[in-house]
Amino acid sequence: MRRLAGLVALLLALPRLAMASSLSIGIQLEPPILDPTLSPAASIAEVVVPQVFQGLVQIGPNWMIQPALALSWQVSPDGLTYRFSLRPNVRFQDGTQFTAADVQYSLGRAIQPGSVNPQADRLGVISAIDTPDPLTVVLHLKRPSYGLLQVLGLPAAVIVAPNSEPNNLVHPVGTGPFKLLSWQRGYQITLVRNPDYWGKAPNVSQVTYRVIADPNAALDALLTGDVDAYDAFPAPESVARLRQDKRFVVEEAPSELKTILAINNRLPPFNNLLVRQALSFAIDRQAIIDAAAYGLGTPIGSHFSSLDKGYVDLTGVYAFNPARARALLAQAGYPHGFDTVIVIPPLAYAARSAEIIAAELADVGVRAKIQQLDWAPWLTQVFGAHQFSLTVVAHVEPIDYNIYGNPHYYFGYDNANYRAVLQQLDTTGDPAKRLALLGQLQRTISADAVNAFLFQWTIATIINARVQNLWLSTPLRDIDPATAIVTGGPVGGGVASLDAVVLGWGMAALALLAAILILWRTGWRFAARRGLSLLATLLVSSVVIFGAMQIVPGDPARAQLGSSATPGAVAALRAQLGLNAPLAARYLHWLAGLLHGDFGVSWSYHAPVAQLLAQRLCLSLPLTVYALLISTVLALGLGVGAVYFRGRALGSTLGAVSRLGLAVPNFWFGQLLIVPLAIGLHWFSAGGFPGWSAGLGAGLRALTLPAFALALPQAAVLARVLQNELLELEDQEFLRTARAKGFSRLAVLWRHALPNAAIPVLTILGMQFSFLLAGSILIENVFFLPGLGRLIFQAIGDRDLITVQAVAIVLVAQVVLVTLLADLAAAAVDPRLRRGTQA
Amino acid sequence: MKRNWPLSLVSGAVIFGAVLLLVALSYVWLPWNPLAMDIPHRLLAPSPSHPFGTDQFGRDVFANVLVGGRISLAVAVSALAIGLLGGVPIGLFAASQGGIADSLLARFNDLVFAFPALLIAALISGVAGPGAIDAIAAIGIFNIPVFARVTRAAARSFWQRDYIAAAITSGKTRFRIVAGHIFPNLLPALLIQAAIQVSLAILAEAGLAYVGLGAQPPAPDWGRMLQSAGTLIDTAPWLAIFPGIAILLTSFALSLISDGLRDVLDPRR
Repeated sequence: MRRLAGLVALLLALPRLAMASSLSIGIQLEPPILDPTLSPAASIAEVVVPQVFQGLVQIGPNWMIQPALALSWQVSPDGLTYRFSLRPNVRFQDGTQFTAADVQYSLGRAIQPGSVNPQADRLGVISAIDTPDPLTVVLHLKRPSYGLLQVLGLPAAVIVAPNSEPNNLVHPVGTGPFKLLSWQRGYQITLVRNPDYWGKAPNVSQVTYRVIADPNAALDALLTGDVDAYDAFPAPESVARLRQDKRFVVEEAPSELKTILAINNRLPPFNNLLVRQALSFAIDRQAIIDAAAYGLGTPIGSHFSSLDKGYVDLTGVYAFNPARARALLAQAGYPHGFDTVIVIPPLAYAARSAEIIAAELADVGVRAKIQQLDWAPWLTQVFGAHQFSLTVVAHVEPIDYNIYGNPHYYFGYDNANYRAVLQQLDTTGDPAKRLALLGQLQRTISADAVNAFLFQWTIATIINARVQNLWLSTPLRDIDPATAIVTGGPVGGGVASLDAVVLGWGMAALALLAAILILWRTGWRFAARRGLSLLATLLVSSVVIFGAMQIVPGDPARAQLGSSATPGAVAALRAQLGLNAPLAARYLHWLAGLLHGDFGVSWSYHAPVAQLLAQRLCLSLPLTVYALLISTVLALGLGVGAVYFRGRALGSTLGAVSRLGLAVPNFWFGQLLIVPLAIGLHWFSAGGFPGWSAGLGAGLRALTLPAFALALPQAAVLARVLQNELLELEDQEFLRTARAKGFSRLAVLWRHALPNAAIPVLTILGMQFSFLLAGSILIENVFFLPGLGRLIFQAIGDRDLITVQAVAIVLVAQVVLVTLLADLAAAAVDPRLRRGTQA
Repeated sequence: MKRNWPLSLVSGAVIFGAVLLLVALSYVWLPWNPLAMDIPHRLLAPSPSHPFGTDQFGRDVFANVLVGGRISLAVAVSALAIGLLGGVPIGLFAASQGGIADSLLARFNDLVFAFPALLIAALISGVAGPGAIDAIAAIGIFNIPVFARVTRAAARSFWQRDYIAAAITSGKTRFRIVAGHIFPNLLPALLIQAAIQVSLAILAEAGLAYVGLGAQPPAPDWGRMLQSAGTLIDTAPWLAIFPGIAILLTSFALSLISDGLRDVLDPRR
């Protein structure tokens, strides 16, 4: 564990650069990797394009193609040759010069057979890439492609340097105005200004993207200033209230986010056009917009958003008509409807929309159950294996109508006519003809009711009023941190807080001292006996955890490589990860690793798990200790008070409070505390954790409300036990003697009764610890704290079994350790317990 | 002799009885269909027609609270059954055998208690998908060592009694002794513990549902209602208040009952 401790100390002592100004932006989804050329996840581009990576061209407002790394370009009359003049004196963030060879490498990699580039299809029209000189690139095409320039402006076409390439997954190196400083998995990504940027330097020196998917937490983060802006705010119900709040500016814009009820066109009864049409008629899109998006949406009739060129309004084709839906179902042979399942990914809009859709479908006889999946299973099951009937999902990629030309895409639409029109479109340059063809595409998928097209989101981005110039609003993105200016007051930063480090080590030293004292009193034999039995528990727990991981479905290799991975790549990765070794061998290997601090490498975060654990423990441990302290103080007050004032109103009240406190759900209590104390009075923060480097005070401020919410039920339990013990003790002989000798009641209670009562209380405390840990997982959700609880939930969702194993064993070890300490402490106080008789 | 029932038992029974009655009533009559969405009338404050207001989809909160009680009680009772069926035999066995069986029981208890219940539920959901079954399984698993321990402690003290020794010498088999003598005397301790565990189960189920590990939509569930109420807490506070109070009252009533039972049944007092 020394490696862990070292990591902890290092993290705590990391000095932060003196900041001119910094900007923090909330985002909903954490990018799986940071290279947009290797994964279609839109969250990647949100963070790194064009902040870190840039392409030859960029897409400006209204789809205008603007120069980026290419200054100018010429297209040959036959449309088969594109000549780009590159910008001179551009450097990658690692210092290497940007030349035509890098463009050749990047685009060449994208069009290679077996490429996982999200736009490999469309870029595949390029047959060869020439570099006549270091600042000129020539693309030779197989056939004319009028969409090519647009595709080159998409995130999948950014230029990456050859020598940085394998690390771009987690440490991207591009040509943009920002470069990566750090990535705290599951929490935030920090970019800093690139001093060697070729263009106008950004005003802010640091941008932090904080991942906050939960709508509650997102709202709280904005209200307390933990984030300065939220891009694509996930709590549309709060937008109205934020509009009226002078501290914020609400920017709204129609978006490319097309929400659809995707239908598996391969499976009966959905392979029947009439059934699909019935579904479209059954859905009241406006109701979904009102209730799920709180009015922040516009209905769509096909897979185009109103931002797209050639958009045709087809929303009237399937206007809400439940009677028509029922008639169509009867015609299709389902007069009594049928049962089905709507599978949804773990996003708020999906859950809300699905509930409404299920209710509307039930009205016409289609009885739909809702099944929520985590992202990894959703990708594997729905996107990869097409094992679904209906799903609700939003497509954020612009101009992605080509997915309807791919019969292997997850909804399985197979229409040769459509593909022909697509081909025609790409080879047609005449603007009028293009518009007509685009219209034809839309009408086709509408007529075929391929999916039930619901609505396009009106993206609401909430920006704190002190940030100017952040809003950009282009088809690809809404905000631009490179042009943002942060006004008003210095923002958090500064040298690392030494007091936090000192406190941390001081507490560790104190714990060690206490442990030695206890051991000295209880004797080695008792401690050894108890310690060994608990060690056995820990060992058996590890077997249980390891066994549980084998049962959990979901291939980790597949989850890591993504849905487009070839079976060969999956098999190779399985072999590499040692997943084919016999069970016993893998278990022992894991155990051996644990013993010298090697917890493995996280599959989803691409980082050593020990590092993740250290970061999370920096929050979870102090939180638990803080909660224990508060609960002890509270319990003392309530318990002693109830006994001291017994028979009087105050005593009964205190007793009732502890009774009631037992029954309060701690997360509800936390929720209720946030509104007055954090949002109303600003005494504490409503969520998030700034890190100990922001200062001891700031850290404690963030942990106080959570610790309090955690502490309350524990305090109630302890108070009750304490109360019972003290009541029994008060009547005993030795205490009555003390009173007779003249000691005051309080002194007797405090100096004589309390130490005796301490024994059962200590034992209970040990037993309660696992409840405290369980409670802390809930509290971490309420207050958006990046602790162990959230880590294990995210890891389970990602099927990152290595991390799940590691966190589970750490949680269990914590309980075992505290149980041991509590038993030892009780035995230290009460010699009778040392004889080892079981409770 | 006139029995003076303790206040805690009476008040607890009254409150819990009311909850039970309302939940039972929900099977026969509901003011509104809890699943019926009425989007134009969403987020209405409490009023005579909607005593607890309406939620973000226009559903009546009162009806949802009533029906939500079904899940909470069903989960709590099922988990209780698991705990009793699993824990009591184990505890009896350990008490009657003593020795190794006893230490094994202690180790087993340590093992189960080492796992936070939420962790168990999350792992189960990884295998079986989210749902009320996860909650029942996780809470039930946690109940087993609790009842095993209570059973063992109570049974052990009875084994020492003289009349048991007499029964053994007279040839009665261990099993018949357990069934005929020990078991009936366990009932008080089990009853008290059952009340405690159901009270805790209500809270646990709410917590699990809050993080998505309980009953799935559209089945109404108190914990899930609290989760969706989060962002609306200042515009529609009733959405968070009423389900929270429901959880609080039910759990509180049960803990009052357990206190009262202890006062009545515990021979030491």
